Amino acid sequence: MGIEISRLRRQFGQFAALDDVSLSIADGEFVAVLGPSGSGKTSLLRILAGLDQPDAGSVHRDGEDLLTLDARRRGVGLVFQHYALFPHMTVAQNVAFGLQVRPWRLRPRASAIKASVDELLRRVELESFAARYPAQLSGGQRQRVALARALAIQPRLLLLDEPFGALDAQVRVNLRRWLREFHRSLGITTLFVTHDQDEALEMADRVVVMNRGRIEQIGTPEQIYRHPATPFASRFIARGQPLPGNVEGATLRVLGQVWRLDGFAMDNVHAVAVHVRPEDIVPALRQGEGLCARLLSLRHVAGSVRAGLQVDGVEEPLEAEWSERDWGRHGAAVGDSIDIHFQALTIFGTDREGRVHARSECHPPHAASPVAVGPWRRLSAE
Amino acid sequence: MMSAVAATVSIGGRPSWSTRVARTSLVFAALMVLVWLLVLPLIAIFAEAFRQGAAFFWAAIRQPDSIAAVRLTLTVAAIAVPLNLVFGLAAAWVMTHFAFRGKALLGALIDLPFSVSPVVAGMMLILVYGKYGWLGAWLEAHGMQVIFALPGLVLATVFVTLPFVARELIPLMQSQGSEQEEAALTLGAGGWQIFFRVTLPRVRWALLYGVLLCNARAMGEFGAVYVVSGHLRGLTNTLPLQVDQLYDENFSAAFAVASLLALLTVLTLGIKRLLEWRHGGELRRQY
Amino acid sequence: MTRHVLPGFRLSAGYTLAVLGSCVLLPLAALLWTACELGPAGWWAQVGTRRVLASLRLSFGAALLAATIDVLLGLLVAWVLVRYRFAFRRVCDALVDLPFALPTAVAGIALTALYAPNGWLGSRLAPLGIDVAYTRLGVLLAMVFVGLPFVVRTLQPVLESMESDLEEAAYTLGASPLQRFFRVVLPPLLPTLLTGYALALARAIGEYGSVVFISGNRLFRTEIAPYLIVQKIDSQYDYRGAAALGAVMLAASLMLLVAMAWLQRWTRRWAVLR
Repeated sequence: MGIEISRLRRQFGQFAALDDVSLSIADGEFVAVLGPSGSGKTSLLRILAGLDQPDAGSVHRDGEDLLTLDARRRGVGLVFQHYALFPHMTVAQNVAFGLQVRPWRLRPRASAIKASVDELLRRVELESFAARYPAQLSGGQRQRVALARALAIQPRLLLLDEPFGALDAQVRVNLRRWLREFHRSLGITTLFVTHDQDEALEMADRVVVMNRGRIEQIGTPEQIYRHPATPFASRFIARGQPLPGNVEGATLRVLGQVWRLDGFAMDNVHAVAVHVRPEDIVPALRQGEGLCARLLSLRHVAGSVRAGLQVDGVEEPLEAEWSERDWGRHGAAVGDSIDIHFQALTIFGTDREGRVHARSECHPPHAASPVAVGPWRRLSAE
Repeated sequence: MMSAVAATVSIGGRPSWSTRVARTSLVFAALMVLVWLLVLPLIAIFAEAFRQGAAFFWAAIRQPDSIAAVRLTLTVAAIAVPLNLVFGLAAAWVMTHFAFRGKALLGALIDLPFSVSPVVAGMMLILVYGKYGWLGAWLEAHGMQVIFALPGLVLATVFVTLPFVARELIPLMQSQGSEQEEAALTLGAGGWQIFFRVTLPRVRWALLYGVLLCNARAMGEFGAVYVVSGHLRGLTNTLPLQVDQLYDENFSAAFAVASLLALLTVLTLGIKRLLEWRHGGELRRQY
Repeated sequence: MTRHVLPGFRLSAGYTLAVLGSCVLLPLAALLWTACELGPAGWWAQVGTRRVLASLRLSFGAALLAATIDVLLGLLVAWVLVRYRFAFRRVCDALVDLPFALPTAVAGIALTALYAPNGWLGSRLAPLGIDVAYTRLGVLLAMVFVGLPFVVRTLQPVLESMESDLEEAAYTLGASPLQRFFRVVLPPLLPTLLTGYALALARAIGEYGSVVFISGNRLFRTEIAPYLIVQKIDSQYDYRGAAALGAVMLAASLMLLVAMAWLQRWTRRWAVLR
């Protein structure tokens, strides 16, 4: 059954931190809530933990109303962004805290508490640090103590607030993998909040994309990356870059090129947004084909090449990403003019409030073939 | 003198001869101010106390009125200081963990006793609890005497020392935030458990510091207590009031009793210094 | 409806309000009520007498002057304590709190003993024609004494946080020592100095114990306002007169409190700049 979140609303004065948020989480699932700061993701977390109450909406766990339980009895483990470890307690005391504060009838015996603390510290690989104080630990170790402390109360839901936000880049990558494995071995329902796209896509079973208090899209990392549902999701996750374009009947006109458009209804549509992903901008093999672009910059990042391109008719420079190997064959230098093709475009039709009413992805005619390296023929030339 | 002065600030490498002279004279001037304004009066107290010899000193301290004054001072402090300790904790808890209407006003009210003259404070208490005060008739009908009795002394002392603990705790708890308390809450801790196991251990030194200052002021308060006590010798005379009465009758005896209070002050300042040295980061050293 | 997640709001707010109510709010209301009952004419009849006006003039005049002296001396002491290392620095630092922690009556008799015509300093000053005890100069001295720690302790943390980088910056820009002090160090200190001034002023105006012994309480000459309040209550049982005078003192304290709140906001604005 899992967690059923339904139509949550939370208002701070004029600012809507949560605006009609609904979400269901299956037992044992690992869900990421992804959004920029101020998107309402932390509000959602605090409401689930019982540290805040929504203005409207409900949260049920296996049919039981969670909102009527106060934070103390909710059995929700929360790992704070800055861990909130008790500085005056050792690692072991921190982890034991949740067991020691139980009413005496439910409190395990001292030996049992010690046993479960030892077991938890072993699991987070900190057995030898039991007697240390939080101030004597590194950031990654503190994070694992906070995790062990939250797990000690055997929560039925684990919440992580920006779990890697306060860590170095290298530690962050290692801990991500570790946490993913850790979740797999525990199987505990977990919700974590992050503003880092890579983190969410790499770790979660499902990603919830939030913006301005609203859920923009829910789906697997692959679904969201491949088929972003809104312009925001496209920009934020698939790094979609806006292109000027307009729809005429069943065709889309972009930078003088005409694309065929299927299943795109213009009812209620106020504005049209056309996005292209960096990896969908590819260099043409022969000169004189495709669009002319000036190469502004080239950056080589871990096996791929990121190019800044100035294309006539597009205000902001476009970013393209190619594999180092493909680029090697082309070999243009900064300042050169090259010809490019768009391999795929995503188009959104939105109403006045920014809600998406129509959405379509278009590909060049023969892009469906598995090895599509171009050159593409235009449907009609300018 | 020159050798004792070493500057921490050395702009542009070695200080020139003229800067060294300027620094030395600044330090000398400051020392003069401190000696003239602070050290001399302190020495004067002990010198006057022992002017007529140790035997006289002991006799002055051990006379029944003085002993009664010591006892009353300790009693008043023993009631007023715990009241203020709890007040400080409660006020800090309210001010730092909750958002509510009128919070700024509450903060201003907590600070208010610092800027009200102690004499005015005592007078205000008489206007409420005195014989002709608002509650005077009611208190009399119920056989309670506040003014010219122990409760009045306690009220006056509480008023004057009210902000000490709260002002020490509020900035510290504000800087620590509510996150740890929230963490304890999600781990299943109740209110008292959070308070005693999470909050209190983190503010204990600041609390001790506030209580120390509060106690020193409580035992030494003069103006507010003077107004409400009626200074009945052996009954409602605290130590400072006893000093005042003896001053007109027996100069040296007054200083003998005063030296007890001065000793308390020196002791307080010593412990205060120790706390600042060991736990300086947690303490707010302003008034 | 406000939401309180952490427990204990009612209990702690209840206790806070109970203590504040019985010790501060109720007495405050009683004073205001009594003062209002008098009406403007009745109030002036109490406050407008020669004796009361003389005491108010002395209390406020001496306090203003004493707070000014405290700012100058306090700046010197705080500067030296923060910037220089010398023998007995820690002892000196601890000593600054003395006027704050020493019971006021004890301070009062100690100052009197020192400056009385037969005292250590008094007997040396008398031949020079300077009388301190039982004169207005004595009142001023006692007020300077009680106000000093407020200025020093307000300045110290700000001076510490300022360290020397500002001055070093000025030095590299070619400023002389005096220019560095007056154009770089002093301006950012200004709100803090004023806060210290207000604190010392508030303390000096209301001070009773330290002043009454050395002032000698001579009619029209060295009677301070708190002394008159005590007199009215203690020997004349004139509560209305005391309340009228008390209201003036209270109004002054409240004005100072508002000024300090405003100064604090100002200080914070400077703090952001740093």
